[in-house]
Amino acid sequence: MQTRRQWLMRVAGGAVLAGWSGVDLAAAEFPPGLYGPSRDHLGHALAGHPVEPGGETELVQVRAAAFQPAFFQPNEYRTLRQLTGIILGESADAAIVHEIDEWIDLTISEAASVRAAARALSPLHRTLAIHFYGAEQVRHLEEFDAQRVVREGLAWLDTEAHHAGGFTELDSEEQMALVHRISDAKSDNAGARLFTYLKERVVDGFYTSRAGLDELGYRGNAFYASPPGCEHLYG
Amino acid sequence: MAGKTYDVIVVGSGASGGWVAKELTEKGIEVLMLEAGPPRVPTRDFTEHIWPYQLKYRGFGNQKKLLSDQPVQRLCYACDDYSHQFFVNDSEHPYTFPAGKPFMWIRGRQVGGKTFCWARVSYRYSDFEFKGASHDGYGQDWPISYKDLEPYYDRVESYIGVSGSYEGLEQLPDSRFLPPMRLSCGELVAKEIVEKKFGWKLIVDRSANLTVPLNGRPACHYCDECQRGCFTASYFNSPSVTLPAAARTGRFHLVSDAVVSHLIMNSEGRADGVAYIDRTTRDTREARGKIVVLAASALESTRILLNSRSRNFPNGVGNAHGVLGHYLMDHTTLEDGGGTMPALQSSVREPVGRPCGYIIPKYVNTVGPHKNKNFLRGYYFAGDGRQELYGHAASTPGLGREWRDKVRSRIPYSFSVYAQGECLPRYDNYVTLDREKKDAWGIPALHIHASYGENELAMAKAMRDHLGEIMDALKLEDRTPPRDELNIFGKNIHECGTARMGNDPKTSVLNAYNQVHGVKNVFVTDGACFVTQGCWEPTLTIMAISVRAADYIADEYRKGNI
Ligand SMILES: Cc1cc2nc3c(=O)[nH]c(=O)nc-3n(C[C@H](O)[C@H](O)[C@H](O)COP(=O)(O)OP(=O)(O)OC[C@H]3O[C@@H](n4cnc5c(N)ncnc54)[C@H](O)[C@@H]3O)c2cc1C
Ligand code: SF4
Repeated sequence: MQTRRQWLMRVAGGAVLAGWSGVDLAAAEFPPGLYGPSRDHLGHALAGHPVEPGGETELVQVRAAAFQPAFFQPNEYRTLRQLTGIILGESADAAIVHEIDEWIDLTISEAASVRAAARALSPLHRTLAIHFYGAEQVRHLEEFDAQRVVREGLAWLDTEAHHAGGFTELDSEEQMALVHRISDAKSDNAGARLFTYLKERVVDGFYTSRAGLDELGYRGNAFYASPPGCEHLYG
Repeated sequence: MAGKTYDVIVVGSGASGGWVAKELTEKGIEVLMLEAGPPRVPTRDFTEHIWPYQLKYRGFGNQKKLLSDQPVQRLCYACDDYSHQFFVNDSEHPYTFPAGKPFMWIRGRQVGGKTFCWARVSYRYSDFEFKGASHDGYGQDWPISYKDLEPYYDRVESYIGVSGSYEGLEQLPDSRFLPPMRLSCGELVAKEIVEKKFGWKLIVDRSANLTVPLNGRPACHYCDECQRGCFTASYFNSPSVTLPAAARTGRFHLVSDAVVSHLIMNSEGRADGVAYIDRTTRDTREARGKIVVLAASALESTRILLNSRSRNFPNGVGNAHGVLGHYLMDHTTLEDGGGTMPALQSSVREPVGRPCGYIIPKYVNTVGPHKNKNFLRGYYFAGDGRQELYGHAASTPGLGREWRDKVRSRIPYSFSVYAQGECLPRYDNYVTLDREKKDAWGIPALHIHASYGENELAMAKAMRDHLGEIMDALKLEDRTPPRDELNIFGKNIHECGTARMGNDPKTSVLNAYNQVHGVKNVFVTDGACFVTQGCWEPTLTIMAISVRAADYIADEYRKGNI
């Protein structure tokens, strides 16, 4: 597995910027807000985030203490981790599962306030949203209760696994069998609703991770010397 | 600054204001620019190389904040987790519209305006636009023609850099191009089919990105995230291209966070300057200038004129005949057409990063045989062909390694196509000052009254039919049909008109040099001056007109005529 730096260096193979010695227009000459081309662009790109504080971009924060889920109860969170692991498969490493599940916890913990904000739109703003997205999607935003879907789904799993004392107590084959029953819209119950919702979140979480993007072989947000276009079809 | 009278005050620092400031200062004229928004700092505000996993919300946005602070702006595709900082807070910047006439007003208030987040698509207009009325009898001609503007297009393009291919189309004149970008595999397939079957051209888009270095700015490196900023200044925005040129003259003075409320008019009917409010402290201030140029973007400049009410100008400056605020336009679009190209499904990832798509230039009611009598004017198609990133993952059945392998190795190829059409200028599409609503600085908000007319709806039908024919010809699968309805008015963010140019002061607000009829020292150089809009993106034309107006201002000022 390559590091981000190695990856960037590789895609920078075209050396677009390496040899460039442009007129670096010192920002100090200009009133605030004006700027010249950066000479140290690769440096900024490798740093990967705005270096100066005070911006409006919300970055992942390094946490001082151990992670505490905001929405999930400890036993629910254990189930979530196992489900994420099952969706991603055996080879998924614990760090990735953790990265995804922390974000899922954030998303679900804020779902109620997002819904409240959607319901609080002024009539004019709601009109705009309806014309933009369509009435059905606006209603979904106002009514879809992710917390309930998740909580009821997890409870459903525990009920099905009642004989063993809950989902987390099943052995892995039993867990797989149970998840298969609710996967890919094979049924319509609280478990299936949870699965559908969760698979979408795991997809969003995994394929926005470094590992997920590398797995896809994503070749964008890179440094190219000439515009990417069709390489083979017609030359 | 206190007490000083500047040669020229320019209000607004975006595409238009940037050019006016550059041209005037380079001609020895002292310019004070007032900009309502704050300065942006690349190392703090630019995010083009941030990865989703570095963001708290992984690229999906802080939805609660977006819904509460930017309920309008969030509807713009570019106002997302990475770039929302370039868009206004809607509670501070309200506007209203009648309940049945939704209008989406997207604004960027900062040094650089909307040029931070614009999509850089750049076209010249032709006499099919400037002389549209002579062509088909509808509306008014512009008081200028393509020949008048051509040298200014040349100047703007040679300085900002526009990439594209020479096509020799009369309805879409070639720019002075930098080398074009390239079509993707799917677009090449489509080109062959569309050109053979329909006789329409399919070409790579024209875009203000540098495909080669220009004027000290390095070439683009194709990260394709321009709306997040660009450390290398490889696409055009005013803070890295035109404003530095103005600053280098030593005659450019920029005051940011200065929200202009109205013109200060004297008893002779001339402007002495403008009144503004400090964005952060809310103190009211005045600035004096011999000439005032409004370049605050189409609707904002008109708002300032409407709000400049006094005994001599009871309805605002430039509104002696009730034309100010009228003839608002924005393009119509029929969106979301597309599907997949099964023959191009692959297991191999292609490089991606070209910051533009393809277009099929307007072919109807122009040169060539294709005429449609059901409507006036025309439209063009645009879109792109590319591999899906992971859009197919959730619907790919299965679990675990096996499922992930399928997602990785069966990469669908998507092809999208939508139409963008001309909106006729109509008196009934207008803006006024809202009677009650005010913005955070106490300035009356705009009430925007706009809807599509019969011509737009008739054109939409033709767009839809031909979109369908294209999708059939390309044999797209897993199709999404184009939407049933035209987009919301304003969604294209090409709002123009409301202080149109013309030779007759009774039917227009500005003369052929962007000078307010009857008020010699007030100019409006942004898209407010447009008489018609064609189906083409307006900004290149806004810039060319701004340079032309600045040339005129400099000349007349020298001669003592203003
Ligand atoms: C997402 C997006 C994509 C776009 N894509 C394209 C495209 O591909 N092609 C194209 O041609 N166009 C595109 N546009 C439109 C393009 O950005 C505008 O046409 C262009 O920026 C207009 O230039 P302007 O100078 O008139 O206004 P702006 O660039 O908006 O600048 C106006 C400035 O005036 C300031 N201002 C406003 N009111 C006041 C006041 N009262 N006092 C002081 N200052 C004030 C604002 O803060 C702003 O900085 C796009 C826009 C957006 C948002
Ligand atoms: S695609 Fe090019 S112009 Fe756009 S942000 Fe990246 S380097 Fe800059």
